[in-house]
Amino acid sequence: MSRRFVCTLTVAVALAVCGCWDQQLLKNERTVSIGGMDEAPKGKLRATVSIRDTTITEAGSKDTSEIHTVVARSTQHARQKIDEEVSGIYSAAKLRVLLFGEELVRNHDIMPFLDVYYRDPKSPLSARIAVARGTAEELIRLKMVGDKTIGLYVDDLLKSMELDAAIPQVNIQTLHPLDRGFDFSLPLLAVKRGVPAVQGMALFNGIRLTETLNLDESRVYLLLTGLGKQNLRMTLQPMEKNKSSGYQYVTINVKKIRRSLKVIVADDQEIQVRLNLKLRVAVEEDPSNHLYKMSVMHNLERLLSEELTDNSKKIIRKMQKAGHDGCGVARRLMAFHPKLWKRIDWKKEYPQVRFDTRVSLEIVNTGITQ
Amino acid sequence: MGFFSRMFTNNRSKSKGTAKRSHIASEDRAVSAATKDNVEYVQQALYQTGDLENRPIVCSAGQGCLLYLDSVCDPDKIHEFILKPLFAAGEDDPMSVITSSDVQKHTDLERAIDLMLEGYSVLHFEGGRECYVVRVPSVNNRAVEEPMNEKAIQGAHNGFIESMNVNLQLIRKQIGSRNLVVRRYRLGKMTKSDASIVYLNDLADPKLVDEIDRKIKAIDADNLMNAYMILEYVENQSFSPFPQILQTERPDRTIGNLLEGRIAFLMEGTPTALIVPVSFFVFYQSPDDYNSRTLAGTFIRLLRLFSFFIAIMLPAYYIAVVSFHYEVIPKEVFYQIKGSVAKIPYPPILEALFMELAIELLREAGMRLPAPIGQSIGIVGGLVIGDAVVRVGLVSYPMIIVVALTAIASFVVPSHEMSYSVRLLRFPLMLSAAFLGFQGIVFSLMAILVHLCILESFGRPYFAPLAPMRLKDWKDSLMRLPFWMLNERPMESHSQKLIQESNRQKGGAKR
Repeated sequence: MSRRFVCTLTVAVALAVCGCWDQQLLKNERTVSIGGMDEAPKGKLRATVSIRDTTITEAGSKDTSEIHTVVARSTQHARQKIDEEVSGIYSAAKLRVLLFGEELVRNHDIMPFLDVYYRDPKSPLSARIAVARGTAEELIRLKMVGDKTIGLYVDDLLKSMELDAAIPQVNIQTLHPLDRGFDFSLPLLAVKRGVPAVQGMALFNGIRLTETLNLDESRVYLLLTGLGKQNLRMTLQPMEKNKSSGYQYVTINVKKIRRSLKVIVADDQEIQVRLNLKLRVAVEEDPSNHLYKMSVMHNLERLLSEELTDNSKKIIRKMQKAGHDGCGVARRLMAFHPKLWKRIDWKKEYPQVRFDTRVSLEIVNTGITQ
Repeated sequence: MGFFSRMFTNNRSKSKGTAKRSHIASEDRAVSAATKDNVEYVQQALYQTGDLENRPIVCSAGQGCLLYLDSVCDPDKIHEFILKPLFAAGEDDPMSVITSSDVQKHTDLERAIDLMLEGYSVLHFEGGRECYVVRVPSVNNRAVEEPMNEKAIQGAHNGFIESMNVNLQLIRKQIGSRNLVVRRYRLGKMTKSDASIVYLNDLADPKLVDEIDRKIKAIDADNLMNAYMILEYVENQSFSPFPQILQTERPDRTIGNLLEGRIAFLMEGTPTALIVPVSFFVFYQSPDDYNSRTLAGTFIRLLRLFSFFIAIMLPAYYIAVVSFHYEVIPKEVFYQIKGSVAKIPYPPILEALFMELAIELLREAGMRLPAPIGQSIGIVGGLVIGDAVVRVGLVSYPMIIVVALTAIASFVVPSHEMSYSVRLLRFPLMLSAAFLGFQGIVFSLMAILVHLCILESFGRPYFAPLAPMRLKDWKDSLMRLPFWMLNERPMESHSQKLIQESNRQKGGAKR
């Protein structure tokens, strides 16, 4: 045995074995499917997680959920504390939903709690984020809904609402703190008769929750902020506001959105925003009208446009009042009017910005054939 | 290296001694006039072997004796070609009487003895200074059946057999060109087996023919029993996991390769043709591709190439995922996999090695046993063990799926040799995946790719249409385009004429 042989062997073994510290055997991991953060006294964090386990037998698979709650100083500290009471290695790599309690986001900056998610390479960047009315713990403590674990249930719920274009697609990655110039909004969840349900949206001013919208409002909000998508459905009441016969509602399905946002600065100080929205919609439900007549259809188009314009104006006012810049006006100013941006105090200026909002609507389809 | 050379050459001193003694008795010996002397000499030269027959003859041509080796001659032929005509004829010259296709006159008895070993009988008449050597071999051929290990659904159903002449005949029947050349050799100092290389004189690279000729002649060994031994002698890199010589038992595959300018090596006693030079992709071509239509052929060929990746990488990938990178599993599948691996006591690499070895054992056991028992071994092994091992909780369900898929994929390769190398290659890949995760797989694949690019089969690039890139050759390596588009032969065989079909003939329809 020459010395060279021994050296080669040593190097080979050393190279091969150096990866073993990084090994993370799937069978030893306990993966969290939903995590929640709530306010705790003295600025501490109250973290609740649900660990989902699946047992596979020949008859099929069965899900179980295990809930842990700890009070900790930070997110990473919470992870350590949960690991202390969990058998196996705690892992957040398969987190599906991250919930914030309403009180926490109203009173605290949440960005420090998210920091660890942007550092860990195994971080679940595609996990959805939502705000829970009351506390997140209360929602997670439901444990199972039907035969679904709470994590899976909330994730599927949010996913289906995203597909319906009722709430925006928000995940940990889109919430990145370096992405400045507009304010984010999160879906709002509540427990309704023992079942989690989407209630609307939570609008943020910077990092604080300042206003909530119901689902009807949030759909218009999505259209205005450019987050809306195809298949966004709205049920509107274009005329006869006080009649209640069932004939007064029209449901439209948005097929195509053309949105133009223009930020105009007059005389280097007055900021004006011109927001034009052109929609091509399909009418899916309209018991009162017979839309084969062009005049009836054009009339309906006009009425719907007016109603949507009214709604939009209301929502823009709400946003301004709450200090929520969902349209990203600030980013335009940063980009195109940097001198002005440096001079003004945006927090004070934003509610005074004049919005000129206009929605026009065109019906492209009224029946089954597309 | 001193360690290895000592290990492999420990009996050199012994073999030197015998090598010196081997050529003692090969001096000339003239045929004696007395038959008795000749018979005695032959008996001594063959060390009184028991199958030497001595039939005294008294006929009108004279008094003599017929000597032959019972074990290699056909008694019916002796009767038909020698005895019957001799006794019927008068005093004519035996040369004009004997009806065998090969009758020779020899004055050297040593030469006659050599021929006796190949199925000749020796006739000597009292007083003659020469003997007649007549060819009466006993021929015992099996039918030219379809080879068991290279079945084709459509196309020719014949295969090579152990007789080289029959094999040459199968090739000649298909290639009518007078350019088809056979070079014969006699290999092995003790075995003296017949061998030949076959090539098309106007296609095969003459330098390559000379090179192979040189290599075959340079083999200096006592025993060369079959072509597989020659293969190891002439192959450039014996320790490469990839075979550099194509073995096939199918005449149509051999002929197809000859027509692309390659060279085939045939040997008596081996039902296989060895084909050089080959590239990696030749191992993935099957006669079935050419016998079916182009779309089907291309699809199946691509599927086979894809199976190469499954066969070497799938277990490694699975191991890397469940022991390092479980976050890449889509969330819908994640809990299913997690649920089944959660209670397995062993790390995935042990699980995988256990199952892979079990499959290899099953394969080997099933192959050694006769067909009816072989099947029941498959059932016992595959179903019973596979099921029980999961129920007991030693191996997880996904691992069973992975191992089974891998096993199936490794059997798709049309060449048995390549199938072995694919099965061997996945073990280092699995180990590197278990040690280093995805990085390990990448390192190993890089090593394999580098090796494939460096490797040569008789001086021709092994990874041919890819590693010296030649898009034209993809037409018949990765894909199988219709024959009218294959106007050129592949480059890697260095054939003398590249064009094999012209699409602009006078009066012909233009495509």
